[in-house]
Amino acid sequence: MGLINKFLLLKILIMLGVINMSEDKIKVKPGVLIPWEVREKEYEKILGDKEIIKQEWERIEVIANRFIWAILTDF
Amino acid sequence: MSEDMQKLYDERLKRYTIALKNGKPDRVPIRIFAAEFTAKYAGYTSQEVTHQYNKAFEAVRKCAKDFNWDATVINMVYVWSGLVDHFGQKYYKIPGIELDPNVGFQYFEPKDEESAFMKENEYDALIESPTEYLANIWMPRISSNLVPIGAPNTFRNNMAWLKGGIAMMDYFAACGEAVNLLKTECGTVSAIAGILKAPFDILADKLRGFRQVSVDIHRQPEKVEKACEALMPYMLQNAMVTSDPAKQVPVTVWLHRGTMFSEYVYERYFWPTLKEIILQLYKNGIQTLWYGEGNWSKWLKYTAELPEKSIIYHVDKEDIFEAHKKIGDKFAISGGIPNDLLAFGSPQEVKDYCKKVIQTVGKDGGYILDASAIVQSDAKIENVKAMTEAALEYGAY
Repeated sequence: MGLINKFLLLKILIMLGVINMSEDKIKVKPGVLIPWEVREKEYEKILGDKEIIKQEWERIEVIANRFIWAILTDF
Repeated sequence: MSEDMQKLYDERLKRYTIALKNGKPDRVPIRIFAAEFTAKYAGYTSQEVTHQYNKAFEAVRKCAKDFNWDATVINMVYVWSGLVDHFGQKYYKIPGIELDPNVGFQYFEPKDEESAFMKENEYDALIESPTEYLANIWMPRISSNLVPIGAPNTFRNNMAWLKGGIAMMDYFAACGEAVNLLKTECGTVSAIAGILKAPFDILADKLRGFRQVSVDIHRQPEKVEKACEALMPYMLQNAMVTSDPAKQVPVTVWLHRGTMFSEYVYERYFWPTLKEIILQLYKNGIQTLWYGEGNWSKWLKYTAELPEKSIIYHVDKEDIFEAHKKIGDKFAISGGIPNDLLAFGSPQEVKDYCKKVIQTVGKDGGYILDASAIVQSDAKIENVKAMTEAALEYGAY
């Protein structure tokens, strides 16, 4: 099967839901492990200030991400 | 911090940062990158400074104080075995464990496809999601404690993630304090902040390894190219978050393998992504210290494409006088004092050579005195002292 045909087939299968492009396969920005947008959807509800929760989520994300890349580049 | 120490620090910071921008300060700054030499001078073994980071920091401070260094790095024995032992990296041999307590740590690279930490058919996974690839596939391979995704979990695996993270936080917190002590106890500037590797370099060492990449550039060149492109924004992000918030001192790019390949390989794989990262850093007000290990003279025409003052060009094995003629008007230059001279020469020979470099390369400013490569335990103490004396005697403008 040619490359273009394979690509078309893949797109059709995704559209039909045969292949599931799950949330955790969303392209994430460098520095992000689990995007806030993904985490936000997991809360049943947020009664307080969403921004506070987001800021702390993203602050720890940066540190944890640094651990992974520091093993590659520093240690 | 005493007023005198603050004054000394301010003078040194000014001297160093003017030189970084290719300017002419009051004299040539002394910025030494010293690793196991500091242990020798402070009376510690390599094992002690590799295992006990406070001894490593203390040894650097002793050198900074006694040798009057304007700037240095808090610890160039960059492998702290506390982290390595708990997380379980397989690629290091550590003094006091596999090595004699008096030699420096060693990096061992997988020598064939079977032992490579990244396999030849894994480029797509790396390109698709670099961080996931590292965490899920590469890390379990480089660690003797981690289990791969899908394998039964183990206590050892869980503890390695926990202890690795805690160890890194512990070390980085101690580094912050060490920077502060370097300033308050010695009046010495922490010379660099932030880490950068060229995407192709990281492929050619810790991911695929030199031998494997040498095959890949022929068998799957597009994948190698795309992998460099995929790694580029991650290397940039890593450099940005670790850089100096005050943007006074540079990020360092430790360049390993670029000189070991042909011009075609350099031009296609190595240079484009490295250049883009350096340009992006500079757009954000951050200089890069170009720490080219080996002789990078053959790629000077590429390096010269970078904007004026965007880098500080460190000289290892190449002719520093030639490098100065070619790019000295664009970039500050550092290093160039041969390590074999520090190991085998006499203090007078060291002084004479430093004088020649200072009066030629440093004639109009923009020179930072340092050894060619990181100073190891083979350097004679009296020769390192002679470097400082040369800067003080011949370096004033």
